[in-house]
Amino acid sequence: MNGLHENISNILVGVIRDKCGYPDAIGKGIQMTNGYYESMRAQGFSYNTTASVRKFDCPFCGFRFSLVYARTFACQGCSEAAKGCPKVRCNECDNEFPIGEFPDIQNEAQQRSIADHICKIVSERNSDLGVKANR
Amino acid sequence: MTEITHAQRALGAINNEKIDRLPTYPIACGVNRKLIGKNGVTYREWASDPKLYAEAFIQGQKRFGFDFAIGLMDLSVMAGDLGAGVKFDEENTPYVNRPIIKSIEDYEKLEVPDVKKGRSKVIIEGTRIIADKLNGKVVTSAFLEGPLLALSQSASAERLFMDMFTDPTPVHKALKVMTEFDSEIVKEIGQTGVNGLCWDYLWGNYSCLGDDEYGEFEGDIYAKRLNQETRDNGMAVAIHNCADLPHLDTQINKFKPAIYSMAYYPDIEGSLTASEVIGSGYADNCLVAGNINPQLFRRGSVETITKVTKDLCQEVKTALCKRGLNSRYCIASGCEVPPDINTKLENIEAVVKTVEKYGRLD
Repeated sequence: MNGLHENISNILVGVIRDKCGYPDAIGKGIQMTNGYYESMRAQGFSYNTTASVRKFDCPFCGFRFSLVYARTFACQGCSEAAKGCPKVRCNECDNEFPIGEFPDIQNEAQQRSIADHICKIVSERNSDLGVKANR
Repeated sequence: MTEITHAQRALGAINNEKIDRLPTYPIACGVNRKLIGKNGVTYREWASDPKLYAEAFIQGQKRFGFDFAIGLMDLSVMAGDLGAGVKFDEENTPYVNRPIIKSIEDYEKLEVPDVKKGRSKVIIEGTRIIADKLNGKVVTSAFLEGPLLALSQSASAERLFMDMFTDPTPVHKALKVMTEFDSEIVKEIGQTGVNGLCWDYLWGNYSCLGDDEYGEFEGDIYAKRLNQETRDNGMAVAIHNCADLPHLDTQINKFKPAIYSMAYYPDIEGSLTASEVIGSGYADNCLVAGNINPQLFRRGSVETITKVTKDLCQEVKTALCKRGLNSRYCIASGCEVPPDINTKLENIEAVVKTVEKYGRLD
């Protein structure tokens, strides 16, 4: 059973590697998911929650920040943030890049899922704070 | 060296004495419900009844021969007692599905609930039974969520983190209430006679919070107070943090716990192995516990987990020797052994047996 599990993981790593062209980061992401994300899930934190609060490095400037931090500051007032935007803006260099470039996001479905997840939270919070979803 | 009792071994390791072998405690908690009665009880029954909660630890000790008993239930106890919706399946770990904090104003509406009701009561009463039955046989400890963790469960982590960045004042007001809530439970648990209290300070990890943020929202004020109150109520401080990249300088060097339980993530840069933790001096004054992958208990074979445990024993013994330490490491799982119905009890047994054989220090 274990061997089968490892084989499936290896195949998935290979497919994603070929498709996305991220040789190591994606492969490592898959293994991280198997360890850290499972630990967090076991404690009641969903994949989307964990991915939203974990910091990652901006691929342009190396600034380390989380999706919730970006949505709080860099994306503040942007109407797209409340419409399921699949991108994230770096607070430091102001470049945008797809959420799919996070090391822990492995495919388009996950990118969509986390984009929708954070959008829902931003919308509810905007509504609570009386913030309009435009600049 | 003559055989010693589990409690003597655990205490000996905390004090870095020369003992017969490394202590061990796969963090088997909810999974022990399978050992109650003829066919076990459901997770829901176990987590709702202090007698069943305690009985699982007693039966787990009888079956496996652990050196510790640490009463971890789950991380939705405090949020649930505050009124949050908790999804409570028959056989799965419960989790918060309806946070109680939905607006900035809600942070200021929190009030300390009666800790003699709800699942806080289950933990307090269950801990009393555990202490009564297992003190002297093993080192016993209760388990509590730290204030920042309890608040993140009550508000949702994403919402809390956003509000911490922009509206820290109401967040601090809520953290004060959470700390009071914890404090009330500490006083009650202090009366049970249990040896220690293990705190889950999960958000003290560099993946989510830096030193300044963690210090401001837990480490410098709230955790500091609760650690002191734990000691003032006659219990040793233990800390569990299964996140990646934990704040070891704060949570071990500053908090000075007697025991620190942590995980290791081989594919996360900067995650420390057992030998690196020992080599960096974190076990100099604290019993470090770790770091078998908890998923192995569910998915691994007896052969695999035996090899992993054997290798960890060897790594730890070498690192302790290099550091000039006698025994300050407990072979444990990096996080709770999954309470999943499919977790293999024989894997828990295999870890203990392997430590008995390959963890020998004499």
